[in-house]
Amino acid sequence: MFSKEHLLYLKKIKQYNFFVKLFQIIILLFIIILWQILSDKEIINPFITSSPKAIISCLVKLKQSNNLFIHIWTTIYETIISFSLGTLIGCLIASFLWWNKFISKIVEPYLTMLNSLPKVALGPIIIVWFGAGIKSIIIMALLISVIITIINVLDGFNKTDHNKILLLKSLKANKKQIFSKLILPSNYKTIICALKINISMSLIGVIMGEFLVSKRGIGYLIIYGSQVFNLNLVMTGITLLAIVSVIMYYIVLRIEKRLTK
Amino acid sequence: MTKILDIKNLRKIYHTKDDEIPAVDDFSYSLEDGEFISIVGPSGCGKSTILSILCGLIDKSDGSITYLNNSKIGYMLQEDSLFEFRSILNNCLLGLEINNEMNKTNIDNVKRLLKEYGLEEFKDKYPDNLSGGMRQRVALIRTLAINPNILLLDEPFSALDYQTRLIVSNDVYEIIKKEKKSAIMVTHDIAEAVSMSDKVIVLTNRPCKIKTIYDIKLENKKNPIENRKDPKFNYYYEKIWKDIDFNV
Ligand SMILES: Nc1ncnc2c1ncn2[C@@H]1O[C@H](COP(=O)(O)OP(=O)(O)O)[C@@H](O)[C@H]1O
Ligand SMILES: [Mg+2]
Repeated sequence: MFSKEHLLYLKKIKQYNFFVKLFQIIILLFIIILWQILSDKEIINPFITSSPKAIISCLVKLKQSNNLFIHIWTTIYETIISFSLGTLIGCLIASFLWWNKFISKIVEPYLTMLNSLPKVALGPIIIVWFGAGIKSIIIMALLISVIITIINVLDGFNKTDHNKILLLKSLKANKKQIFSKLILPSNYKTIICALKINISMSLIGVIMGEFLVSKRGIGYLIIYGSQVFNLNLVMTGITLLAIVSVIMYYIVLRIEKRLTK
Repeated sequence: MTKILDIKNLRKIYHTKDDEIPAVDDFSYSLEDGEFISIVGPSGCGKSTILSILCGLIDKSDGSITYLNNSKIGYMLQEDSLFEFRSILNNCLLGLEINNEMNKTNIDNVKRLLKEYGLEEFKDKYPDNLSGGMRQRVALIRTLAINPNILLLDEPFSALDYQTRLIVSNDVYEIIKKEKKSAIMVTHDIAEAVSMSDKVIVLTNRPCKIKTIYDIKLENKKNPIENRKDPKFNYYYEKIWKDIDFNV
């Protein structure tokens, strides 16, 4: 099928990718092993740095007391809810603001202000308003993802090729038709990109929320561990968080590939 | 010949924050059925403004425009503005979709146009797969799909390279003649204007007025490419060239 040169070329690419993967794994193993050795020999203080073995036994303990998956699931569940709501509400508001230039103009400085305001500062108020529960956590995460979604999607809408809008107008299209036939489909990629940003934003928001109020979730494990000075629990929480965030990111990446094919 | 469009004393003043910009001072013309006219003039003199007013994209400041005998406008711009997420066929059906005219007769007519003008094999492809010249032909078919009898063309070939431009302008001309449409074309290319048109209107600087109208009477009118070799082609070319106040 292919020429010899081409096969060789393909082989080289394969080899290259293989080595990239290989080194990634080697680095990970190296860090884990080094960490373990250093804490075994007490070169670093295992009480404050924990160790891979301690993390694993902590995970096993959590599992035995039937808490592990409750914590993981709580965080995932809260993230998914705020991610979907954040994306949906953000896109709806962006569409509304595209539609109504006047209101868009009015709220512009407020959006900028909200965007640059560190949302964690609103945490105490959110708790007072919405109670120390899952509602506050989701609102926290929503605040973070909605604003950035509105700004990105609205920007995409407003950057739609002016000549194409002119063309639709010359064909006597009304505003609704301009939106449905041009603005929305040509910003498909912007919206997918917003999804990708939102998954990280929601996770940040959820962990922040869990730090502040929760009784469950990965964020709770981390903050509780630090309060009782159980650094093994803190490190276990961070490890879980790293794994969860990578998995969620890959799922969104997969969805993105599917949708943009 | 029947009149299909009557423009009288058209005037346009743009209002901006800092200034009032008079773009069109006085433009009158009666277009006849089947006529192909070109408008040439210095850049920025108000040519695009006239076409935008005619197709209703912007409001006129004064004057009257009367469409006679159920005339309908089709507008074609310099950029083909094809939607890259729509297939070629669906791009061509855009106007029908918007105007709720997606009946079998109209769709078949679009398919016929695609077939007749060599684009049938591309009808399910996407604009990315087409060359600049083909894209411009698709844009023309998209314009023809809504069955206009008057086409407004605003520098339709400017985005194309010279060779393609000659061929595509020739194709477009033949399509327009075959489909029996009238056309008003804006161009800055005098050769293009002389080779395609029945009449060439030269405009003054902004705010534009009609300076001269040339009735192009070639010895042997054929298609634009052949017309360029006509013995009288250069005569008109030079006369018009001298007539335009180019601001260099
Ligand atoms: N929307 C607008 N607002 C203000 N001035 C405009 C606008 N559109 C065009 N003009 C001005 O009107 C003049 C004529 O423009 P146009 O009709 O596009 O010229 P042409 O097509 O002949 O090059 C130009 O000087 C241009 O700057
Ligand atoms: Mg122009």
